[in-house]
Amino acid sequence: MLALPLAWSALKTRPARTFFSIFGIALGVATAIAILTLDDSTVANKVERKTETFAKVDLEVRPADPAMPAPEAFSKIKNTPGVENVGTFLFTSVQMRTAAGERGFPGLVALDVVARTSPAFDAYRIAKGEDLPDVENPTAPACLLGAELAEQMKLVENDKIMLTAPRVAVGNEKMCVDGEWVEASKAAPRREQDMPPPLEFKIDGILDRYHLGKQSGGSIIIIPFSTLPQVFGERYGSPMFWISKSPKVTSEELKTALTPTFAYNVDRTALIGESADERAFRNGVRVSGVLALLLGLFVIFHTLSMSLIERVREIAILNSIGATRGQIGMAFFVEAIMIATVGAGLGIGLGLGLARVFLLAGFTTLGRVGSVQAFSVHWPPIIAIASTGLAIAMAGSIFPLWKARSIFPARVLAQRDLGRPADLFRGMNFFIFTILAVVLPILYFFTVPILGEQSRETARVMVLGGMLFLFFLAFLLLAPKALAWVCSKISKPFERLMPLEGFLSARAMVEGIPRVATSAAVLALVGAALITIKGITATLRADVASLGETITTKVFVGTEDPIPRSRVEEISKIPGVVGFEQLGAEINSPFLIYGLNSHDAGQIGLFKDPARLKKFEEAESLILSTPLARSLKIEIGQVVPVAVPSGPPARMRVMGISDDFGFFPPRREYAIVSSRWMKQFYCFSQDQTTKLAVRVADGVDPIAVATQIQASLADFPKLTLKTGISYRDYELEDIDRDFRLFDLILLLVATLAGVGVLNALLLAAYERRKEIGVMKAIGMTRRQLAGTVLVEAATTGLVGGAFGLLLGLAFLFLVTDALSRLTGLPLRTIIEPLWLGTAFAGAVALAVVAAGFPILRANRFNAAEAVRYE
Amino acid sequence: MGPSGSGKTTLLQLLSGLDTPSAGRVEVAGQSISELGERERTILRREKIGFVFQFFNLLPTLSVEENVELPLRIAGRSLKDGRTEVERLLHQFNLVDRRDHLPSQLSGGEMQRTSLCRALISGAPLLLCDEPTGNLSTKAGEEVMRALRHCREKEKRTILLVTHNVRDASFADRVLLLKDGQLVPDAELIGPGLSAASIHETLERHGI
Repeated sequence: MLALPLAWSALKTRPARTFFSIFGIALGVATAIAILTLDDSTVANKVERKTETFAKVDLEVRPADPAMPAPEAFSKIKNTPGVENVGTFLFTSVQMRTAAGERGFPGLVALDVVARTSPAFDAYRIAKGEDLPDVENPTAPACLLGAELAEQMKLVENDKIMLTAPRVAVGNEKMCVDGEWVEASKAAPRREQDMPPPLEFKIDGILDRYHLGKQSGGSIIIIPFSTLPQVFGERYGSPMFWISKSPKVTSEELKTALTPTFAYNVDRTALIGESADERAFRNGVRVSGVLALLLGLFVIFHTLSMSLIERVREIAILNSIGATRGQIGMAFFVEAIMIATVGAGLGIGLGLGLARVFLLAGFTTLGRVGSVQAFSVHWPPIIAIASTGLAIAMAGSIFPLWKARSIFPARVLAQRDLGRPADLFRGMNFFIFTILAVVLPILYFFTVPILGEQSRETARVMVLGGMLFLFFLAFLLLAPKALAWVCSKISKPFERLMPLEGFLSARAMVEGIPRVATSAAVLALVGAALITIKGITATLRADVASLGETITTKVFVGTEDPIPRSRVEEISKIPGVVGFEQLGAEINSPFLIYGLNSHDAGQIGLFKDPARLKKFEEAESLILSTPLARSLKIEIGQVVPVAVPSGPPARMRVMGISDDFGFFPPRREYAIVSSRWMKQFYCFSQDQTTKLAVRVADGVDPIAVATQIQASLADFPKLTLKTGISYRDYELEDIDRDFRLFDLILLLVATLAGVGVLNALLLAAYERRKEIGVMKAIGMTRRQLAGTVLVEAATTGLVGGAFGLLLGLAFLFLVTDALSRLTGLPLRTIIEPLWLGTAFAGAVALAVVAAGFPILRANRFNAAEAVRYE
Repeated sequence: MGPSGSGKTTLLQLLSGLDTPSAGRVEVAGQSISELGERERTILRREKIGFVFQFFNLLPTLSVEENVELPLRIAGRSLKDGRTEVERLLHQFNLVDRRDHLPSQLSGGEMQRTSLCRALISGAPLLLCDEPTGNLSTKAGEEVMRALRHCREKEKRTILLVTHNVRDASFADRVLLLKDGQLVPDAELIGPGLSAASIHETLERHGI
């Protein structure tokens, strides 16, 4: 076989080119794989923690109107677009008696068939015995027992137990009616004889200590939902509904579809890595992966295309002595396979290694955390990414293969000059553009899809971003004359300073414009990535800093034991304190609502206006935080239904949107209502609190006030104090910490870009080896030669840097606008001149540094050899 | 003159400082170039030596005029000052009409004449010519040799030319024979007006 020795000798005789090509593809594949593995491991780690004591539930909701019958609620949820599975469950306590007369009050979970049997919820596992029968209405009552309960009561499968509603609790059951706790029996008379008699259950199985089996410390019983009325009568309370989401919708879309008919439990139901900000962060990381892959593959594309120029005479000779065009083409193909296979193989190992190191160092796709132990390796997408790299690299050999077919040996061998490289390169950039800018992203996003792809906002960003990317690359790669004109203008000043170097490099760039274009494109992409990422960081920092403006005069107090009102009033008398927000009364109904005594808060913001203050106190009105208003797309004057336990939902009118009061770290989506309505609807009194935001006067040191508060509440053992300033600073640090992952990715991507430019310059030097030799022979010094390469590199860097600035700014505005819409944060794009300068100077510096090795090699070219032979 | 492999090109490369000798000394214009550093050798080559190669070695991306100007640029000399000399050479070697052409658009003779202009532009007193007609037709070769004679007679340059071609050698004032890297003793021919037949006879006598 001719191809193998030819390809092998081509790789062997150009070790630097071979090394950088393999390095480029390996680093590109490695970065993409590292990102994927990092993301999988991050989510796996979070899932592990989150589901420690619970089922796999995407969303847990209950009707905003407690009077809504369970079947109606079930049916409404079931018919909501984006709901894949819905299960009914109720968690309560029950009175139990064994055949031996032992009594207990374990936790009781009643589940409908869907919730019990759906693998989507993975609610429990059976350790011994059998699962409950898979029927809606079982003939004989059966149950499952928690392992601890079974051990404690010495029960095994097939034993019988009696269950009944806990009669001892009847007298204590209360409900809130118009601000008063009323005995449930009085609210709705309930007599002993109304209660169903104890019901006998057969124990079908013993639960494993997993998910629901761990609830109540394993002292738990699971029964079919349909048997609840036989145990509790008709008054067993409102069930909750578990939802597993269709992958076609985002959690936000689902929540929006369910609100306001349903309220969701925020703490339990946030999808792992699926909230808007998390998704945006993870998508940002994923997009970085395609950038790395693109840059890595660019290196091999360039190598293969340039090797055509270098070997055109070899091809002609081979053809003239009888090698078919197919055989010659095969040599390029085999060379591509050899480079790509080794590169992709190394890339897999390096990628997994990088992911492991990142995780151990605490870098995740959901921000910087402590060390992460879970290491989840999903081989199918990893193999798919490596295969994409391999396939694209092989596609890269098609161009030279196709061009090699058009070489006429007689012409090449007879000609004294081998023709202009620009002629041989014609069409290369179009090919690169099609394969790398169009085919590669499609293949990549097929393997590593953008999260929440059904979201209109995500789709808009992707389409606009993709168009920007294509437009920009199209200009660089498909308009060589325009780019040559730009280069000639940029290199003019160099010609004045260094006439020879400027002249030669300008000429070389015009002749090798495809090479300059691809290198400039690579540098521009890195510059744009830097500007976008740093711009987003600055924008998010500015948002936190702006939040900081409203909280720098606050001290946040948290306790485990409630602080009585009298003690709160003592705190308000500390010198410098001008008001406080007592936030102990909070409810998720359906979003986080704090009760606030406006008279305590002090005359700030909306409360400066007495009319508004009066309205807040007297009308059924609420104030929304800006993020909540944006998230719910609610404006001032609109009416929002709020779930109330004792009756139909209250209709609260939005009287303002403000972040001035009510904020207690870290949740920024909340509403505040007057404490009067918290009392009226939920019977929350202001007698005591566990959360307090104390406002100090301007010019007073919050730390000094915090110290006094600490002294005043010294008898509260689990007291936490945090000043607004420290919270703001922590959040700012948190943003920086989270975005360090991007710094690492940027470093990898910049390395790749450097390798790409280095490779391009090195190949250009090889291509012009004879010219360089001739110039050395007629008196060109090493310094002049170095200057020529440096001027080309610097010009490429300037072009790349300038395009990077434009593209980066365009991306930045696009992404921050999308982030603002997705997260509900009032983001204002911040452009930091420092990072614009860094991106621009970085592109130039990267190109100049990358020129170092080619200069070294060019200076080593033997002039005597170069001039001796044709 | 000498057969293939006798060391003709190596001699030119040693004289120009492109290569360094493993033993012995090389002196050009009274200067021992073996003792010079690479930079000094480059400067010497730039100022004192003009090169004419068998394969022309023009820069394919530069026009005729730009190729001729290249040594001026390398020497950092003003193109404005060198303009008259460039024009003179282009006229002298009949390249005015071809000044904007790229090497690939020239005939062999034109390429070699361009190469000669490039060698002359810096005013180097020594021209090293490595088989300058070796890649040309007879007619083009004669044109180039006439141009070289002009350089010797009118421009007063010293020309060291290595060749296989007896007719080219007949233009010389002095012919030396090289065999296996050594000058052949007692084989020196002194011109001008050497005949091709006498050179041929000397070559045969020494088995070349």
